[in-house]
Amino acid sequence: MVLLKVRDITKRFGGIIALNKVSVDLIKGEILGLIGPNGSGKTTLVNVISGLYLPDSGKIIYKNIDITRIPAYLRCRMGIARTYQILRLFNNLTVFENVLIGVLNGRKYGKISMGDAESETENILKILGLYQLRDLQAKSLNVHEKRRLELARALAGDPELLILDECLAGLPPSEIFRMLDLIKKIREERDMTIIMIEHLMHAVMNISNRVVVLHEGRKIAEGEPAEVSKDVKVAEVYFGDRELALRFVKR
Amino acid sequence: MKVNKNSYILAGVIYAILVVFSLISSAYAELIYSILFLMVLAQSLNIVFGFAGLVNLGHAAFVGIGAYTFAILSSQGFNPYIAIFLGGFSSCALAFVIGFIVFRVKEIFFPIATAILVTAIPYFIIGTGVAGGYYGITLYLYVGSVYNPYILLFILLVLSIIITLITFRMTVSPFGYALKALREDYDAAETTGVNAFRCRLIAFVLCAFFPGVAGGLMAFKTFWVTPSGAFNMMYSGEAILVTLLGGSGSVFGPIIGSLIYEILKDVLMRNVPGFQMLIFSLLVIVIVLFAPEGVVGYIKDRSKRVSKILR
Repeated sequence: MVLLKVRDITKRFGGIIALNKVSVDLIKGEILGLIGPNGSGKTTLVNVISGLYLPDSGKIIYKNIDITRIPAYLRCRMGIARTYQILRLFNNLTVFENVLIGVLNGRKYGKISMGDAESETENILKILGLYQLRDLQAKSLNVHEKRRLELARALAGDPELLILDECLAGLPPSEIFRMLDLIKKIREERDMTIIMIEHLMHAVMNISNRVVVLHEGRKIAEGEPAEVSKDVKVAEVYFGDRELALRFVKR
Repeated sequence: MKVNKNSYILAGVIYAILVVFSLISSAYAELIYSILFLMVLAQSLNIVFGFAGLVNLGHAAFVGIGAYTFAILSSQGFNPYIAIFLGGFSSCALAFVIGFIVFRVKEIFFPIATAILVTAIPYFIIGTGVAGGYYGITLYLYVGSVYNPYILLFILLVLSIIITLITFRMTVSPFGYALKALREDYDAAETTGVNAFRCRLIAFVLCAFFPGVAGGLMAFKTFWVTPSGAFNMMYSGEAILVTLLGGSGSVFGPIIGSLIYEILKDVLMRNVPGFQMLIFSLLVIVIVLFAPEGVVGYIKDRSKRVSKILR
C-alpha cells in the first residue's frame, strides 16, 4: 500500500530551482533512504512534505488525501512527524516538556488527558534513554542527547510517517550504531514508515529498503541500495568525475 | 503536573498584604492602586510577551480603547460599572481584528502593528474630531456621583487574581505549553502539531481584555479621557519593563516586578524627584546584565526549593 505519493513537486527560490518535478512513492512500512550531495534538494523535499514550504506545483497525497495545501500542524496531527538537521529544540523548556508538547499535539491531540500524556512522555523518554535527563533544559544537553531528543519529540505524536533529516549528523560511531538500533527497534514496535536523509552511506545502505537519489533538484536514481550504489550516474554525482565513477562501479 | 500548593499560598499572601495596606490609609490605597493597575497590565502582557514570545507594544492601545469605550458609554448615561467591562470587550474585539490579520503571516509584523495602533488611533480621534477630538471627554458630570475609589481598587484586585489563576493554569496546561513551544521555535512548534494562528490569536484576544478594563478604570478615576493621555505609550513601556524586571514567562515575575517598580518609584519621587526614570534606566541595564531572566529567574537559579514555589 502506498502511504505517501509525491507527484511532480517543483519548488523555486527566486531563480534557483530547488526541486524539479520530483516524484516519489512511499510504501507503508518501508525505510526510504533519501541521498544526494549538498544542495540537491533533500531538505527542501522534507520541508515540502512536512508543510513548511508550499510547492510551486505538484501534489502530495498522504493516505489518499491531498495534503499539498494543508498546514503543517494538521499534517503532524495526521501522523507526519519530522526531525531537523539543524537542531530545533524548544531550548528553554525541559526535556520532559519538549516531548510532552509533542504528545499533546500529535495524533491524539485533544483526545489525551494530561495524566496519560505525561505517562506516555515518560515511556518515550525511557525508550530513548533520556529519562534521567528529563528535568534539564534542552539547551544544556550535549549533541548526542539533543539528537535523541529531536527523535523523541518526533515520536511523541505517535506518527505513521517519520522523516529523519540527518539525525546522525555530528555523532560519533558508537552513537550512530546506537541510534540506528533505536530507529530499527522503534519502527518494528510502532509499525512506522520512515524517510531517512543521510550523508553516511554505510548507514543508509544498511538500514534502507529503498533509496532515492536527488541531484540538483532532480531524482536521478531510485531502487534497492545495492542497485543504486552500482549506478554510474549516482557515482558520478558523488565523485564529480565520470572516469572515477566508472572505475568505482566496475570494482 | 500540578501547581505547587505553596505557590497559591505565596500569591495569596501577597494579595492579602496588598489588601491590608490599602485599608490602612488612603495614601497607601493610592500606592496599592497604582501597583495593582500596573500589575494587571504587566500580568496580561506576560501571557502574550512571556509565554507566547510576542513583543506586544499595543497594551497602551487597549488601555486607550477601554478608556474611550468607558467614556463614550458612560457619557451616554450607561452605568459606569458596566461600561468598565464593556471597555474590556471592545479591546478584545480590536485585538481580534488585528490578530486575525497579523497572525496570518509568520514574519514578525506584530511589534510594528501593535505600536502603530498606539499612535494611529489618537491621531484618528484628533483628526476626525470624534469623541471630543483633541479635548477628549470630561466625565465628572456623568460618573462623579457613583465614584468610589475602593470599588475601583477591588475590581483591579479581582482582575489581577483572575490573571494570576489563568497564568498558574498556563504553566501546566496544553495551551500554555503550546504558546511556549511557539516562543521557542515557530516552525518546530508547527511541525510538532501546534496551531500557531489559533493559539496566538486566543492569547492575544484574552490578554487584551484586562488592559481594556484597566483603561476604563483609569478614565473613571481621572474623570477625563484625552487622546494623548489614554493612548500613552508609557503604559506599554512600563508593562514590558516590569515584566522583564520581575521575570517574563513566570507567574510571579510581573507581580514582583510591579511591586518593586511602583514602590521604588514612590520612594524615589519623594526623595530625589526628577531622577526616578534615570535610576530606573540604570536598573534595567543592571538587570539585563546580571539577571537576564529577571528577579524570579535569578532567585530560581540559586535555590531549588524556592524554584518549586516561585513559578
